[in-house]
Amino acid sequence: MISKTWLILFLPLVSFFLLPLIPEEKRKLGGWLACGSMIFSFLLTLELALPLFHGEILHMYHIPTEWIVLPGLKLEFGFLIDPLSILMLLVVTGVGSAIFYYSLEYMEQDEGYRRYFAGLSLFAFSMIGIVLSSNLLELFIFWELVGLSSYLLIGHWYQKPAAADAGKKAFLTNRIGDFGFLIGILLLWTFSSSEGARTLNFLRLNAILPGFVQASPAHQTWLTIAMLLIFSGVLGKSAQFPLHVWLPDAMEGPTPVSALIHAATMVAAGVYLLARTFPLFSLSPVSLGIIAYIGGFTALFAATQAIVQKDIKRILAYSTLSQLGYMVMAVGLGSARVGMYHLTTHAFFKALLFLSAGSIIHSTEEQNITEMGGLIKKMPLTSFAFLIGAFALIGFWPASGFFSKDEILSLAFSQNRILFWISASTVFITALYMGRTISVAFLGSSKIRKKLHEPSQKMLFPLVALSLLSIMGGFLGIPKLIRGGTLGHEAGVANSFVIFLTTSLGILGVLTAFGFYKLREKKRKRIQETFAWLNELLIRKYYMDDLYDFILRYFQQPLAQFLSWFEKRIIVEGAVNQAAAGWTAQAGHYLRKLQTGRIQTYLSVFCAGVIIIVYFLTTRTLH
Amino acid sequence: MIPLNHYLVTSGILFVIGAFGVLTRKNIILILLSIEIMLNAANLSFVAFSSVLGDLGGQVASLFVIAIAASEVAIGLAISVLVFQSRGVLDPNEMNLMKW
Repeated sequence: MISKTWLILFLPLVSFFLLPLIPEEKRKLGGWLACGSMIFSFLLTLELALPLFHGEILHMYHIPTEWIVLPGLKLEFGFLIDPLSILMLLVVTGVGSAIFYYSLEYMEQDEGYRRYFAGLSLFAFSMIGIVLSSNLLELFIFWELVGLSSYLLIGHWYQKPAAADAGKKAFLTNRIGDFGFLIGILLLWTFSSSEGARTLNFLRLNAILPGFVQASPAHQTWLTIAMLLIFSGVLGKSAQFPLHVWLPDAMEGPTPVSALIHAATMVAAGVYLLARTFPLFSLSPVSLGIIAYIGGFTALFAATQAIVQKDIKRILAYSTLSQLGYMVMAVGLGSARVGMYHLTTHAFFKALLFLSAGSIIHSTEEQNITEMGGLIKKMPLTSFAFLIGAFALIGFWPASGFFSKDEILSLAFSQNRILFWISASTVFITALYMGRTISVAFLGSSKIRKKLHEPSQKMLFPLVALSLLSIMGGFLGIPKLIRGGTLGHEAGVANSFVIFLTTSLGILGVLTAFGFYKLREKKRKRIQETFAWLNELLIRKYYMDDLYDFILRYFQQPLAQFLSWFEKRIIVEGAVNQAAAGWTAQAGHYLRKLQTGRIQTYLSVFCAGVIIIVYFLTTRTLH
Repeated sequence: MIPLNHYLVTSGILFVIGAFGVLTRKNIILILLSIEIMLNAANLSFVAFSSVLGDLGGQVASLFVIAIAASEVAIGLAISVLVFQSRGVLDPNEMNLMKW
């Protein structure tokens, strides 16, 4: 059991270290090595999950390995395997295997083939580490490793300035969130003192903190602060407002990377963290409320921006933001289980959408949807896969998105009407932009001259597998897997009003988009001109980038300059050169006069010293 | 029988005379001689204690001191000769090359 878990975690790391050793001529072998280790991890995870599928009693394995043991401080490097981590592990290794396999063909011609697979393997290792972590510090280490591998993969084509900048942006934005996360962890650590031994272990924290909160009302406030700080890590990694700005830019990376990291798994790590620490969050209703509103706002905010994007990958990126908002909102409304459910189905259909978009980009070498058109005739299989993904995203029965989204909406319906209407309008907007994408890129007349080809078997197989999962995801009984008391209340039976509303909103959205593009050119132009200001607002991303630019230019930059001046003039020239060095030189200048070089001076001092010592010795012995 | 105090006072006076000579003399040979006086002051009290306490250890120690004093003077004089040959002075205040 233990050794198997180690194997799941370290197989990708082994392939990460072996890949650079493989010579360039045998690059194919390297790809297969990475892919093979990932698939092997997946198979081991399946074996781990087998008892759960049989509906057996949910065993929880907690394997702590002591790492740093000091008086009053014990850190572990352990694994926590429960239904939650197994579900997430299945998603990571399962979707990961599909995408590794897909990459074998997609990246075949790329110069950085081995570097690419090394990065993916490092990512897989860190992500599995996050999932298996048994304590917050261990999770934080892997959390940062995930950020690093994301940076490496976004900047895979580092010769392109846009890609290099996007990588930097992602990394720096995440740093802001992670700074808060780290402070939050330290705060929690100070709360966790029970019988002198402090801990960051999830299970221990769950057991200790309820008592801590009940001790005094001030503790409640402190816990809320700590949980919000931890949530700031989620803001960065899961790209929630206002730290969402990096995700659309991250689409500069290769498409399979966008599928795996920036849609299916890494950005979902924030939601996983929320679910993992949910018992702590539920102790602080205030923080849950804030989380719910931020999630709901992000869902709507991001979805509106997707309407005007022209890059197919950016449309999907904004839809990812919006779906992540749904998940975060679900956790905030008190059910991490529902959030995890949507995370799982979203991983399936979003990976599918990205991979089919990747196939299209691979064969058309075009990312702008207005330059595509009529793809359904030229690439029927890929288009069909994309359509399945789109339907799941909008939430049409029987695709998996229908079930998970309905649970979220029912939850919102029973908990908070404002958030319910926000998420219902997001459903409409989601349908609108997906309908727009479909009608512009897949229907109508083709604008592409070159002969298109369907992807070969290696790229097709993951598409088929993910399509099946996207359709059947709702029937696999995923919620049963994680039906645990610690993850919040049940969402209740799907409300027929909610089902009716979302489905009709979805159909309405798609039809609106179709109708708009069926209109005659002249009429369309007129509508577009009427809403030119809105278009401008959305294209400029609600001026969020400009806002960040403004803050950087007028606050951060002057502050940095002042600090630089302070450091140069006050610290270096003042405290170091003037004070420390100057005073030492002065003291030396006077003190060196003592060194006369005359033996008799030294002897006089020596005699005086002896006399003083003898005096003190005699007085001490006499009294 | 002369009391022990007399020996000790004599020895103390001799020691102070020697120390004073070491600290004030301007000739290195005289400084060496003053050191001899200090050593012999110590010898005197060694021998005096030895006879009063009936312990031969004191006399043995004084013999060692005499042996060491002889060798010290030999080396000291040799150094003085060499210094005089190279620098032409015997004043210790002139031998101040080791200062800053």
